[in-house]
Amino acid sequence: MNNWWFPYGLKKRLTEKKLYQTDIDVKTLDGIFKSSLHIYIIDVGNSNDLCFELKALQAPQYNIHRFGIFFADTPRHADVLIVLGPATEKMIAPLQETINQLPKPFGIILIEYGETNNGIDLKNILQENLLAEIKNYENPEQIIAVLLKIMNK
Amino acid sequence: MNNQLDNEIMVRDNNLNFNASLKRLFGILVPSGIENKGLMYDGKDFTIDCSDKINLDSFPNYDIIKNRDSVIGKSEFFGEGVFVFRYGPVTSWIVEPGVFHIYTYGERILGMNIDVSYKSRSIELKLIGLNPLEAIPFVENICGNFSFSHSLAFTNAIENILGIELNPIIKSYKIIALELERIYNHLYVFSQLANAAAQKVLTSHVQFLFEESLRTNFIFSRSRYLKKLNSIGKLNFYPEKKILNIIQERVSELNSELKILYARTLESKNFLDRLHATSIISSEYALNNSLSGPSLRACGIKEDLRLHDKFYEDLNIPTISFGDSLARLEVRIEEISESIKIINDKIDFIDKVKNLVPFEEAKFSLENISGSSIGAVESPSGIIANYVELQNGKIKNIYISTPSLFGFNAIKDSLPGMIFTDFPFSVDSFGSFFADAAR
Repeated sequence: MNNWWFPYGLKKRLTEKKLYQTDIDVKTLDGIFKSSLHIYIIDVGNSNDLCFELKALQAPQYNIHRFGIFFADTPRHADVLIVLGPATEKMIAPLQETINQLPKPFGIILIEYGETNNGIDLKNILQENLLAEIKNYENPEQIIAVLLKIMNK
Repeated sequence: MNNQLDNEIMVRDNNLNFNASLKRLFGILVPSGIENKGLMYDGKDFTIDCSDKINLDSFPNYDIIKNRDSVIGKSEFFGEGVFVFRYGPVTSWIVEPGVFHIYTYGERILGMNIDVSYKSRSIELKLIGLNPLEAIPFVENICGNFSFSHSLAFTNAIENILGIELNPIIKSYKIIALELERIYNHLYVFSQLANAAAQKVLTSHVQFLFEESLRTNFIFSRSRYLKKLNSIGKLNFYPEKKILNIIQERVSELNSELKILYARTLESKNFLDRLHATSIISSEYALNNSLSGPSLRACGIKEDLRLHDKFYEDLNIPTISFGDSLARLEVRIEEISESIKIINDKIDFIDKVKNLVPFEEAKFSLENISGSSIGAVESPSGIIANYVELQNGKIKNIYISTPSLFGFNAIKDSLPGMIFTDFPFSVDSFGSFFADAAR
């Protein structure tokens, strides 16, 4: 067996060629972020399957880097914040602080999924920066479609 | 270093292989009218200890369970240059909101306390007064990546109260779903550890398998996380033979691909060196602190709830005696192969007996049903146990014991002495999640 990783990685063709489309209403940011989009994720209390989905989004099947989509390590380097809800009360203050750290202009995508809603309406906090809201989450393709719509691609 | 590593890896499979019959504390119940009774486990059965002879305070994990909704640990360190480094609740590595309060003087970790309360959704309180069928979606959302395990532990408890004996075919479908959940969770842990060790090519390939396993779940259950499938005494629907054949093909393909990847992984000294001897847990500690699942089996203790289930035949439970992050990974990888074997066996069984055994769902009514029982399941990261009290068909009291609570406790106790770069290997190798611990 050739144990050098590099040729093993190259001989595989794992990226899927698909057209990612969605009916979800999405606002764009006046034509900026056309060529690259840096996203930061904050979990405000989801049941952890959405955190797993965001890890799955980084899988080579989706190869999001080809669209110029990258994950940022801090909100200060991000263009778009993805909020994974529904929220717990204790996460409201950290969410507001994270939004304060985002460089302007920025956008927010809200994904809420699951039965454990505490009745906290995040729209009041996210306000005009909310670009898209995913209520009936299906799979990572839906997130890519929303991000591409924001980028006008 | 590499020679030393080789020698130590050679003796890693020296299994202890003993069955611990020690009584361990998994939960502190407050059943109606009685106070502070222990949810105990002896390696085979769960019981509620109502005898006055047992002093719950004497269990090493009593305080952890008592304070499970706030902060795990009461460490405090003082000295020149010692400070508290707060990691969380908003970080890019651990996306889930939780806080690690780490005592350090800059390089070595001296101790830590872990705050799980940011993720607390008080799900147990929301369940009180609900009909058990209405409660299942809430139970599934305690921890999305253990959704089938949680719902299965809950429905097991309700089935025990109702006295329902599951049809072998229905039981086989439930076992397939449980093993599918084990596969994708173990692959997730593998990809996280590969990523932490900056093995980018390996990470990508494991993430590929992880995504494929989520898609297999979707083919099987119409949900990537096996939600809305389980019910009391039945499943909400049963995948057809054609679907089961696709599942068999997909898991077999995954198995052969994983074997190639894992063989290459074991060749990488860089990767092994990062996990080897990181966050070592002794078997005594694991037993005294109610650790279960792969973390317990990585300490050499051959214990698994599935061993006592007559529906699992010739179950091979992998154990490794070293108790470090690498041992926990090795156990998980071996468990994936075993899960794939179980899935194949159960699909063959369904295929063979579907026309022979009458395929009937149990008939029951929840009206005016009162009683209490315990349901337990071997989830991907350890034992999930539910104590449920029903009164007139509604939930009167429920206690959910989750493996992540004990996992975080083990992280807290195994990291002191390690350096900061060992942190992700320790946290990820236990497969503990804040959603699971905080409920």
